[in-house]
Amino acid sequence: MISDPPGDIGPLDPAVDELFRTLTSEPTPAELAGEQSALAMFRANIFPPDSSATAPIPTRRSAAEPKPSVTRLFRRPGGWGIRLAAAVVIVLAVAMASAAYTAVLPQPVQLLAHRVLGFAGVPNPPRSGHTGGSRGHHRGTPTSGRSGNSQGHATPGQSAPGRAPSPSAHKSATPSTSPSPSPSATGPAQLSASASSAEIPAGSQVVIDGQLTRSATGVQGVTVQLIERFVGHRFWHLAGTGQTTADGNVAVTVSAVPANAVFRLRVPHVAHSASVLVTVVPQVTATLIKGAAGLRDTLAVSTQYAHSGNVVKLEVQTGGGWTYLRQRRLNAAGKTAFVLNGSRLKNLEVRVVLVATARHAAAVSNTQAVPLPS
Amino acid sequence: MATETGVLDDALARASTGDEAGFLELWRALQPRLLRFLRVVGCEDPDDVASETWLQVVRDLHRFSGGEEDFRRWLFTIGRHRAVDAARARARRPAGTATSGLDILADTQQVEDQVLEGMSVQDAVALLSRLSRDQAEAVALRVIAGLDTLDVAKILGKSAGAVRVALHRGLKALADDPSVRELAGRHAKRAAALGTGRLAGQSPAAGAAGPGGPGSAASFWKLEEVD
Repeated sequence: MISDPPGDIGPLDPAVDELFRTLTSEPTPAELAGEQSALAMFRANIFPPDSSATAPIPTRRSAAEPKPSVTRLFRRPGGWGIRLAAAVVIVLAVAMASAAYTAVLPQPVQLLAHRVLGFAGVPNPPRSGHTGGSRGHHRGTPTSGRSGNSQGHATPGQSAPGRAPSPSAHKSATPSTSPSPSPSATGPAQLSASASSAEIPAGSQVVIDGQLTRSATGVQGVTVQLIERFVGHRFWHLAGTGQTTADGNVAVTVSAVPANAVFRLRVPHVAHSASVLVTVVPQVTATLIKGAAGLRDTLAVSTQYAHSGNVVKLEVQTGGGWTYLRQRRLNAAGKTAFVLNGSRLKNLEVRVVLVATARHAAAVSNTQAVPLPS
Repeated sequence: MATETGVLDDALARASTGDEAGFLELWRALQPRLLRFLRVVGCEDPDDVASETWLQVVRDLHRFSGGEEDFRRWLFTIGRHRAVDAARARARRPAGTATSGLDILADTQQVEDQVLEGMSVQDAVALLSRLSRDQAEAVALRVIAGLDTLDVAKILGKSAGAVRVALHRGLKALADDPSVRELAGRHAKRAAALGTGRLAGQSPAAGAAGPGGPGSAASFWKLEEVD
């Protein structure tokens, strides 16, 4: 954490001081529970360092970082030779630009100038038969890079849920890596998805299978992204990638699923599957701890992948069924306890049920037999 | 636990270049405080709002320049805006079955939980959120976020003088609140009985690694026996 409570707001009442100490205390496990999700979000949304060149908002420049300018170049220590050379280069550049604008350069040079500076209005060579230059012309323009056009170059600044800018995203966004033509060339591509299991133990792995088809034929060699969104969260993050086989099948394994999650396969700008929900079942363990006189036994409950505040219910087996006795909430360590009345529950079996939440399914603990009072 | 201001500068610089370890260091240091701040200002889904906040931070991180102080001010400014947005969105939605019967039943167990856990962060946040909105925000940004008065004033759009007034009134209201005294007194008594300086500040998982540690089963039950 950052710092102790500030001392410049005057002497504190001891009770308030204690309150502030608590407010700035170490984080609880529940507060750090979303770490993996946050890391996945970071991976999916962090920009490459060089993307700042296209950032529309100027950065705040510190005093120690001088603003670069053309005039500053001439103030740097160095011989006049460097300054003279720079001046010559500038003069030549201006002259070349002027010549390019008036289209008086030799044809190959004019064509090159048009390709480089076409966005600024430099014309084609007068007798050029080149008709396909517009594509190259637009490739260098700033608007082309931001548009997220059919070339599949998604812009990080436009990243929306499910549009994670990552190296794999750029790679898979171009289906031309496939031996087959682009799926959008001859008909709409379809992507299916299914989970190896709709309900898994919390923290275990799941495999998402899918098939990329076009006109009922599998599309081979396309990189497919698996994106994941935890239930209750709004953003998607990249969970893995896979390559389609000859029949268009793909399987992506997610090594550990800690909470209920929705998965979706996608080929950016081409197709995405329907959502697949995978629910997780936390592990709940009930341990009986005998009391001193055998009258106040304690049923200790510990959980994994459940959260602080989750409700657990104590049940007792009577008449062939389970009867609800009472409930408690898990503490920050995912634990709680029930004090058992040994004289009333003697020889009966008890268990604990973790109530389902948005993050996980319901879970049932092992059973424990309440011993006779000694 | 307490660290000097500025230790996150290196982590911030690394995170800005895409370093995951740097980002995690930032997140671990600031996420708990962000959550506590959001709870104090009455955010109904602090986890969700915090996620939205970090998402915006990460997307704009490459455009950020400044040190840890600037980053904290930026983070909590975004967090406050997202909390306001969430509150407005919630107000536009028709009232539904927001509270399940189980939640109501479970709340009756909170007294029992407090006996087990001592004065928790949840208690402290609840006490702070009983202040007026202005006072709670000022105290939370000053204490939880660790911002100075000028930064708090910028975030709240008020003068530094107005923030100081809100801070002092908030502190006085807390000092006069019998619940604060009761909880603090109970906490101190329990800490003295257990021979520990502080209970609420301990991470329950901190000692889980070794047998007999603070998070082990033995000490967990010892806590209940004392109560």
